[in-house]
Amino acid sequence: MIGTQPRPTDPLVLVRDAFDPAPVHGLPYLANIIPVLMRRQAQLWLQFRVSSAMDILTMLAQASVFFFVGRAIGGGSWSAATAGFLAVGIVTNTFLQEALSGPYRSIANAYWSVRLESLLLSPCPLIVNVIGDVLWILVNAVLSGIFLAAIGAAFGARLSANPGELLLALGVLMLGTVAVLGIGLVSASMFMLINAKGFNDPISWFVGVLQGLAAGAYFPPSELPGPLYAVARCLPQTYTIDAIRRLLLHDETPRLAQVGTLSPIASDLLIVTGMTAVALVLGVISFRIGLRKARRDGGLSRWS
Amino acid sequence: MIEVEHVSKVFTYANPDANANSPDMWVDYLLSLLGKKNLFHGASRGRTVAVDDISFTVNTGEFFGLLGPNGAGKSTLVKMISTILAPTAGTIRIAGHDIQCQSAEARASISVVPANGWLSMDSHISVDRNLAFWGRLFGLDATMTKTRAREALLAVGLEDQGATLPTALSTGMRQRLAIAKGLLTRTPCFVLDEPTANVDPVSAADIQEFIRARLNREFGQTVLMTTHNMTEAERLCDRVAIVHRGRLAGCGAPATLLAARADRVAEIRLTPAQAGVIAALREHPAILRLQEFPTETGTTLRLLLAEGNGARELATIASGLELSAEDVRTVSPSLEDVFFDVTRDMPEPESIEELAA
Repeated sequence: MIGTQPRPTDPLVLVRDAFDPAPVHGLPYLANIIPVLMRRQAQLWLQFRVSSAMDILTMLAQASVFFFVGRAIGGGSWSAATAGFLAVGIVTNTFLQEALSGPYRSIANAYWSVRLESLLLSPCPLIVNVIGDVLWILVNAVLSGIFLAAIGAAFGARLSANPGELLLALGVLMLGTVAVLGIGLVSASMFMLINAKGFNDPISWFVGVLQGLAAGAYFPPSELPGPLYAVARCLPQTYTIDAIRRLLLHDETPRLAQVGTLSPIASDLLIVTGMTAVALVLGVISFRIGLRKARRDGGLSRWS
Repeated sequence: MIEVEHVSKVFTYANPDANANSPDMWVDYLLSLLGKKNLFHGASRGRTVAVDDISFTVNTGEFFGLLGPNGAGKSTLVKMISTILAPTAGTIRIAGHDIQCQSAEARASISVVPANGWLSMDSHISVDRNLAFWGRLFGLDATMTKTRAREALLAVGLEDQGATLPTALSTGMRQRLAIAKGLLTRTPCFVLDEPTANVDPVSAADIQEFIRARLNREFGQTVLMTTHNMTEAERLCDRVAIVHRGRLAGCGAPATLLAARADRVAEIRLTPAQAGVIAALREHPAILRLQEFPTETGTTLRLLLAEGNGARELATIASGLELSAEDVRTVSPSLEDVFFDVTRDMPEPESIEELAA
């Protein structure tokens, strides 16, 4: 017989007087819960460390291909600038791609590993769970970024050593990440809105393909034909990559946009800020609509 | 306290026959973009009323049972109480918090143990880490979570399983772990969805005893438990609500529900030679239900008489069929008799299919 006999030392005897719920709203709660969510993701990551290491190795191999191809084609014209151009593009692109697909993957993983139900039964809002997961994904992406940057350096890439420019580039990266996270939330809401549960939703697929093709990760967007160049100019990723390159490499490729008399970097920054506001609002609204729909039709529940 | 007031749930769905999903989801997306298919509702729509205007209150400290067969609407109701599903109409309050307007507070006041205990935990991290994570989600600090997790595991008899992965636990142990999560957060209300449905009889008895003796009686928790096991409900619950076809068929203390049918259940012993009586009894207007149980000496019939009938009518029926008085006796009704009595005339749930233009 388990646990049916009262034990003299059992403090749960007092449980009827002990309900004093901790606050589950507000900034203090968020400040406490986000690291907890990230730590849980880290625990899961460590659970599958061989698989994670294999993912990193695959990515490194794929990134190396670009450098080898660039050096082979570039021949005598291969330079530190070219290597830097590719290194910054690949690292930023990897980071933004994770922010784009992270929210959808967070929900899909939780749903298919039967953790989502548990999260829905807790007072922690689902969007906070998603953001906690994505932050861990981004921490992971930083590690990947360091490896990729090291490969770039091995191929001759040299970045700006100016701390101000490095900090500003980091700020631009964070701003661009938030913008892409907004699109990622729209993508995650597709899991609920159109029942896109197959680890492949139309939004992150479409935006991801455009990002790889047109955002300028591997070549300057100015090389694109007119219509694709126009598409590139609608993506926050394009301005983020462009601004970071200008800051870290003092890149002189043709500017993407001219806002008043602002410099190319300031113009990029202003446009990314505007896009961040729009994408974030759209992301939060569509996620809330999706969640409302899922609560209406039971689309997130596997409990039968 | 859990208050459920005039709650209904209507599911709108796509007719699977008329709107079969393509094996390639991208074809589905393209069709919807081209306007050939309404991705949100499907080409053909229908609706099912899963819960229809149900009201009841589970009082503080009470052990309340939701009783009904599979498909009655119990789990839908419990999912709404758990805030996983939004009601189409009506209001649900948990410890005074409306599940629609104050869903976080409502969730912080209730612990839900789904039918499959594994649904409520992370199978990739240990029992200790599951509880630690759960406590933090409820806003507890790390130290308090650790202390309470130890207490909770002790209370459910899993104090030696802290380092184990939930997948390595038996079904009964997982149910107890799910209960431990509730004890950890000190929620005043517990909702248990068929907690003994998937466990062996010995573990089931163990869990029943724990829920009744410790969780409800000793710890003073308000318990709402769904079950289709009439004996379990009769033995454990202070009150039961009988749900059938999405509607509330009856509600009350088992003793009251049984007392109201005290004279209406009878047993008749028949020898093989008297088997012809069965057909006559089946046609008798005063008999609502007749069950046959083979015995070593013949057959025992269990009868449920219609309302307004009792021992006198039974004697009349027996003498009309030339049955001896010692072979006919009234017996105590069971909740199963009550269930049959209150649900027999309930209509089919509303199910409407409508073709979109």
